[in-house]
Amino acid sequence: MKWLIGILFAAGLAMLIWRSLPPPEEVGRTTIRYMAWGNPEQLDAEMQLVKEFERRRPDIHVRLTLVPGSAYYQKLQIMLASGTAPDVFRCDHYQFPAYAHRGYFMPLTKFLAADKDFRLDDYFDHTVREGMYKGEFYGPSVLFGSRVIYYNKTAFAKEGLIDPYVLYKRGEWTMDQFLEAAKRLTKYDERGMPTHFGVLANVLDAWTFVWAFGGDILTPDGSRCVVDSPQAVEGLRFMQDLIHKHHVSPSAAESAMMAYTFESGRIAMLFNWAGQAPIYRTIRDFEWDVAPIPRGPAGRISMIKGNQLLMYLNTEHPAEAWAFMKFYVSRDGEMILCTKLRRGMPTRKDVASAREYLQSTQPPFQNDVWVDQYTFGRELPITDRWMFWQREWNKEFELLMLNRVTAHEMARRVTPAIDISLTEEPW
Amino acid sequence: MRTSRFWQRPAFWGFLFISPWLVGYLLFTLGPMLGSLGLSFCRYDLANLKAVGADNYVRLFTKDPLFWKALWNTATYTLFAVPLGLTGSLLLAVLLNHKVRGLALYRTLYYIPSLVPAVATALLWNWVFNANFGILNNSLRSAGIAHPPAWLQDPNWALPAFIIMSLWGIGGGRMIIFLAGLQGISDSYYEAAELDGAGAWSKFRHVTLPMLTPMIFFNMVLGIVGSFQVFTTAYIMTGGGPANATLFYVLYLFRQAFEEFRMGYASAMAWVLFVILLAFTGIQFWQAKRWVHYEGELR
Repeated sequence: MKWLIGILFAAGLAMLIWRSLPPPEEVGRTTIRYMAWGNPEQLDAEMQLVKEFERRRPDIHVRLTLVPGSAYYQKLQIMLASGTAPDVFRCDHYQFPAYAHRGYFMPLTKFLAADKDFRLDDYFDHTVREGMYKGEFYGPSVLFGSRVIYYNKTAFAKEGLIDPYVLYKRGEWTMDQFLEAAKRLTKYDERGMPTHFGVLANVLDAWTFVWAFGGDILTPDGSRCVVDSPQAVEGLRFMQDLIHKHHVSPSAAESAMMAYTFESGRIAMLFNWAGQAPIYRTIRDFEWDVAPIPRGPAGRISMIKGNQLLMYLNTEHPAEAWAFMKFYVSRDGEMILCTKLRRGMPTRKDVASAREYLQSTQPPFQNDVWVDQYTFGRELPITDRWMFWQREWNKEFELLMLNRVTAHEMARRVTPAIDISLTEEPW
Repeated sequence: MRTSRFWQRPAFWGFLFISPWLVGYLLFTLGPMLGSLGLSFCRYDLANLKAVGADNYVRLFTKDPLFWKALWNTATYTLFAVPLGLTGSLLLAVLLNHKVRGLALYRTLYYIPSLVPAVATALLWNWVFNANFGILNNSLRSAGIAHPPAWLQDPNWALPAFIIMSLWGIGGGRMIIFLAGLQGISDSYYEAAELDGAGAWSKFRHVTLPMLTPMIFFNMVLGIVGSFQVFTTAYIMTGGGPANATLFYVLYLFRQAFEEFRMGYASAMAWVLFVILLAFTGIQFWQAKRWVHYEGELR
């Protein structure tokens, strides 16, 4: 019996020693931790980037932590608060100002000054602006995206409609053309039940419609709600009419449980981000591509936004963390992400004009649409109060989309409520 | 007489043996509870901590319409879901107390839904309530209702949908407790009632129900506590919508704590809920003296 206890004790001790040793891939190397989230395609992209970086910098090991998107910010916040945050992490721009406000990020000015290889001029201005907070640069933008229309080319051709991309190139892709196409692409069965809808947009696209009609939801500095202007109300009404007047877009009840999806061919035009393209590449039943948001009475405006790659303020390995961040947004890094894996829009000007990026062998083929977004794209006025006024907006927007209120009523009710959320003391 | 040493006293060994639980309770339950009480008087976003006195409580009661909305939704849900659930479980227990062939199979079948994880249940009911393709609306259309409600997408019907869904669990633990109670009622009471000329309803009304009052009381106390804490299904199925129609109290608390990181405010909400439940439970215990009968109890 005694010898058995002795063996068990020795085995336990050996296990403890073994567990306390660094894994073989970390021996003799500096390990930095990098945390990100995303769909399986994105996670695959992250792993490829890490692998390529480690090949080039064998002295650094990147320990990649992948967290489900639904729990990402809870985990990040707790890690930041407890001082256990990873050295580098990705953060959606929706959250970036709120975290920057709390002082969790390393300012990158000193790295920029000391690093002659890295020039902000190489990047589109929008992407640089997004990484700034109160005059300080905190993080290069990655996975930059734009709200575009994914459309079913086969359905357009079958219906004898002119392709939206052709109309766009002719300068004729307008809200009227968009509505006309949506009407013709909406189909019903013999019982009068809809089988196909022309268009599907969501709460985020309210910005696009409001902008297209010349209004705005917040002031450009994000300090006040201005959605009660006649132009903004017109944009909201147009969006509401797509469902309840023209019946070219599914209602909340109709679209529940993903009854109508772009992938199934039941939605002909879908408003979505650039990052969705890899998911749609599995479509085999029809041809698809991307077109810009149609031009409205106020001109052609689109929404652009990205994520920021950030360094933890108290990282023990700032030089290594910076090396990884720099590689991620280098020409080589973006070529992997945007041309090989075709994720998101390039943030670098040289990649956006590269033949390898513009001439794709897989859909979408009309990649100049992405690049054009930098010409007429507009950034959202995201501040550290962004999360707090959204509740008011979402509730009223739901009522609008349910046809329970008119656009004018919604704007009248939501404007003062949002103003309170934007101005009151944090609590 | 010489006093025995402390390790010779039975109490020492009692405390020693429950010490793992005691330490766990102090560290992981009582400690955090007291911590949250302190936080409820602070503004705390996990980065900055500032004492604000009773501001969180003042704001809850005077400046936050969503607090009242969430409380109203939860109270309405409790008002309907608890009596419905208790009645359903009791009737099911009475049915499953009859000696029929395949009784064990029936009992198992009715118990199974309570074993289904909450996430799976939520997804299942999402389909049941689907306005276009759901089994419920298809049945209603077959019954001649041309335009059935959109349920989870309709602010007027979303809360009733959750009340209907609460019946899913009637065959679970509550039913088992009723069943155990029914089996504990001595046949002699029924024989005596029969001799007095009681019919089936009279026996149920005057024998079964009074004898089951301790179980009804127990299930009611736990039912109210559970209903006030409804969260998972609403979080998954509606996220509190449409237009906050299913914003339940704990869901709102969760949002404040883990989405907007207002830990102080969320702690104040938790303590308000604690006081509400304590009050409800206290009232029930006080009222219980009037209607709960324990066998052999002397009054």
